[in-house]
Amino acid sequence: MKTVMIVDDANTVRIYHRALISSPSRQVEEAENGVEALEKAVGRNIDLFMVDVNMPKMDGYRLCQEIRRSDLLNQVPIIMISTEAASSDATRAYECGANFYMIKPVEGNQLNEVVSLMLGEV
Amino acid sequence: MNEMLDVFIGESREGLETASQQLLALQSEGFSQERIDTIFRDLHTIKGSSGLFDIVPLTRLAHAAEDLLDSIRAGQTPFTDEVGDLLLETLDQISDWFDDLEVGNEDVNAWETTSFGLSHRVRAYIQDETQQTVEPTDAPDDIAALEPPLEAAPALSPELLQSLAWMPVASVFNGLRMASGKNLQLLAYTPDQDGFFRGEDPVNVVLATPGLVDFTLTPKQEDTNPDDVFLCHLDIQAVAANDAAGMAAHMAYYEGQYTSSELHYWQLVCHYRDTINRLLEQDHFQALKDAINEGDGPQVRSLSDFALTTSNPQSDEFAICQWLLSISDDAALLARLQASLTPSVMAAPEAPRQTDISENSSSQAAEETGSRVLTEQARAVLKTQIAHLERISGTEQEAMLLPSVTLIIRNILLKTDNRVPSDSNCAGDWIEVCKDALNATRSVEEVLNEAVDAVQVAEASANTAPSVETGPSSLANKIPDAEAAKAGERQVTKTLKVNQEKIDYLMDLIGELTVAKNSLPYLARQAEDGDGRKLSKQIKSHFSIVNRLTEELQSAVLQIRMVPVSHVFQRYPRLVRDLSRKLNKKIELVMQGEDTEFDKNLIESLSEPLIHLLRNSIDHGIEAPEFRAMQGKPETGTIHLIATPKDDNVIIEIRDDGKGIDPENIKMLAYQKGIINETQLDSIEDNEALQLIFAPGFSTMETVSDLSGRGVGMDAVKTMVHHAGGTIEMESTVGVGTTFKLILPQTMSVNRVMMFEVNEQMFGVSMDSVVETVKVKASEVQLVKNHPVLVLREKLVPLHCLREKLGFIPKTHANDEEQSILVVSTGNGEFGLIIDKFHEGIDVIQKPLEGVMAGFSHLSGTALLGDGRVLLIINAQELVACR
Repeated sequence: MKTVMIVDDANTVRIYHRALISSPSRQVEEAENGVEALEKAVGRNIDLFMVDVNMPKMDGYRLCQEIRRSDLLNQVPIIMISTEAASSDATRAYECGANFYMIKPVEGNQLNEVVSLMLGEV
Repeated sequence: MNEMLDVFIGESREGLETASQQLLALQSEGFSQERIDTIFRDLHTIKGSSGLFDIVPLTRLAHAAEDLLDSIRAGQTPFTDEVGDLLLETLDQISDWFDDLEVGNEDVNAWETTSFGLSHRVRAYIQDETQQTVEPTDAPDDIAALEPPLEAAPALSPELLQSLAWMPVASVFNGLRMASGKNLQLLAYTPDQDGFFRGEDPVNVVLATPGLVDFTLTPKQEDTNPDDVFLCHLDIQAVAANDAAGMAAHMAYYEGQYTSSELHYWQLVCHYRDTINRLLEQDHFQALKDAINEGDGPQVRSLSDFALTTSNPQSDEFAICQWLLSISDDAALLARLQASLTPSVMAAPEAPRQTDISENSSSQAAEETGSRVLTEQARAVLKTQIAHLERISGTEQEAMLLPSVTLIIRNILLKTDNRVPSDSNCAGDWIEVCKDALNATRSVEEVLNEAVDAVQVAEASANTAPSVETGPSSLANKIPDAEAAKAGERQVTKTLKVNQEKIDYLMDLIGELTVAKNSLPYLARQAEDGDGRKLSKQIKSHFSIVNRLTEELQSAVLQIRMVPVSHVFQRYPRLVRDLSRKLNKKIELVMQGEDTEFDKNLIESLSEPLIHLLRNSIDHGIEAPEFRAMQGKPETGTIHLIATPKDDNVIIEIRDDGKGIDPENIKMLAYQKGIINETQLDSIEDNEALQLIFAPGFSTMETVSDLSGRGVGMDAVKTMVHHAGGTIEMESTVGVGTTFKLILPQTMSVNRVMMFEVNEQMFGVSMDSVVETVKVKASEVQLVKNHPVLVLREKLVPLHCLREKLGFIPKTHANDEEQSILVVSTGNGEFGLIIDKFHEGIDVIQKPLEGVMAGFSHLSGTALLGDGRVLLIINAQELVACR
């Protein structure tokens, strides 16, 4: 069982993403912001983060940096999903340690495939 | 999906509310970075989520507002009152659209005009470098097509793209070429059936469309008279290289028969991306593909020019090459084309392509046969990871990013070819697989080598340095400052969140109740021993404990539904501000007791009447500043909005210091409208006259004004308040002001009622309205104007016989027999009800009447008694009014 954590401050988006990626072989955790995500990730085996950019308390960029700096979470892939399509945003996401950058609203098949690739599902 | 829309609307409304509060605060308290940030984030979230629902106008507007806020945030655009007002207007518009969505009105296209207009105005305020590049272009379509980033363009809805299926690829690209960077219009024209009789010629109309690219005729989908050859049975769709205004001008005579929608230029290109790619995949177009990839305009030009001479003019290739030729001068467009053709990470979100199904099935087939085809997405992910490796190699970031990147590469390669061994020893295999899979160019191959090396290094280091268990410390360090961040967070009470304290208290009570229960067996033993009096005393003392507990439990449970009135009040400063500006009045709203708690349902049902009362005060109550100055009042009028808890009630007071209501005016108007007759006109007291404004059909304004006269009179307000179980009172002094007082039960569900008996049946009346109970001899009842009254402490109390009112046979009383009279007070003053017998007061949970009974306004509800009987609770005021 793989665990994906969806980090987004908008409940709507969390529900949507959860619905898109839900499958019997995946467990989905949710967090409203970076702080909550880090708190929830402690002591859990998270296999993938799906992170929004703009969030209160701790935004997506900082969350990525924190994950990369943490010895526990550092190998976990991160997909950053943002509304910003400007290439500077993608660059910044990559610099902060995101592995892949997608633009909202994501298309179901695409997201599912990327998630599946990242999780290494056969 | 609908459920999600509900969540979205609920969530966004919260955001809108906070955003408008923050905006108001900004306007009154001056600029604050923090507030701007909050507003920005709220709008950003709304914009982001709205993208999920294809509500294009909403997304566009939210995006415009977001951009404006971003520019304010960055200090490029100053925040002025005007900007604030415009943003407030934007929030209102969005909120209006939510209203529409909630009632199921999803005719989103109807919002387009508003959306375009408002977004334009919002964008006009943005002052930054992008504006300078915008200025030289005159056509608004140009801006839409080129200026904002790709995702700003309204996404073409799947339906819209579906409806384009009739159009051959060649036409599409011809259209794109004709549009030369501007948007196209899709015209859906359904001529009236009897149009021929008016001399209309639909096909010629379409043929004459300026910039027509292609069109199609289909039989009408809903044809009522399919056999009548004299009627028009056509639906026409056409695509034209034109702008919305041009389209509207051309179709001006056929208003209502057509709809025209924008086909966004670049979205269209993206939609046909596969087609272009397929063309370029062919060997003899390889050079052209390279030229595009290099952004080499002249090369693209000459190559496509060459291709044109060798292709069939009817073919798709010809059209595409012609289009490529037309854009070859435009470096920006070429760059964009290149970006969207290479399956990069930045690929714009696009509507599901028709080819998707076949693609998927082929990739599935590929997986089944164990072949080495990487899907487009896998390539994109893989390429990104390679880019990562290139970037980080040799930097300090390497250590941070390497583990996840290698993990992903391994995962992907393992997925696409299950022959790949999972250990890194067979790196050679991996490279082969990657090369095959990626169809890699030389440079990518090198990078892949690097990647595989990196994998080996990572694995080796993982093996040699097992269990470096320093992990938790670094995380633990982060948590304290996370908590600090949490403390500074703004407090928003969310719909379903209950204060932990309330639940804890409930738990305590239940604990106590459990203890209290345990004493029952003890009492039972006592009963066996049989000292009746002693036992009775013990039971009574025990009852008092249980009684206290159940009461507390009850109130604790009700507490959970309690929310502060500020929930409703917070909307009013805005209302007052807007209205007073509109009317050029100066008004200050003073709110007190906003933290008074109140049943959530009740609060929501009160919002409407309160708005109405406020409107009344602003519109009719407070005078114009000059007028106030003349009277020696301060120019700024004050409206107090005060909530005070009192016993089990909450009193909401709306007090203005305006001109007050003149009872003489009221009397005359009421007389004119036939609400009172001549005798009443003479006898009515001023105080009673004022209450006439609550009478149905009464409105003091001769002309319905924009603000308060919306068909809701004071009688409607009264009804709403009554529905909530409350009463409304009004006092007014001419020249000094008017006060409305809403007395409301704190919660709807538990009422204390006084029970009484009439004709051997039990009835109840709300304890709040009971003033006193008296017993008088029949002889003491006097008749005034043929109506029985009682003189009670020098006050006349009109009497009503309940037996009569309830349709029982009236009892005749001997002169010296005592009659029981229940004196109740209502909005119309006090009066006495003659009943048969008093009973005690009890707490009941009142239920509204249902079914046939629902129509009886003189009964306010029913309740179940301890012995299973049903208690009818009467509404004294209504009962007396009905004859």
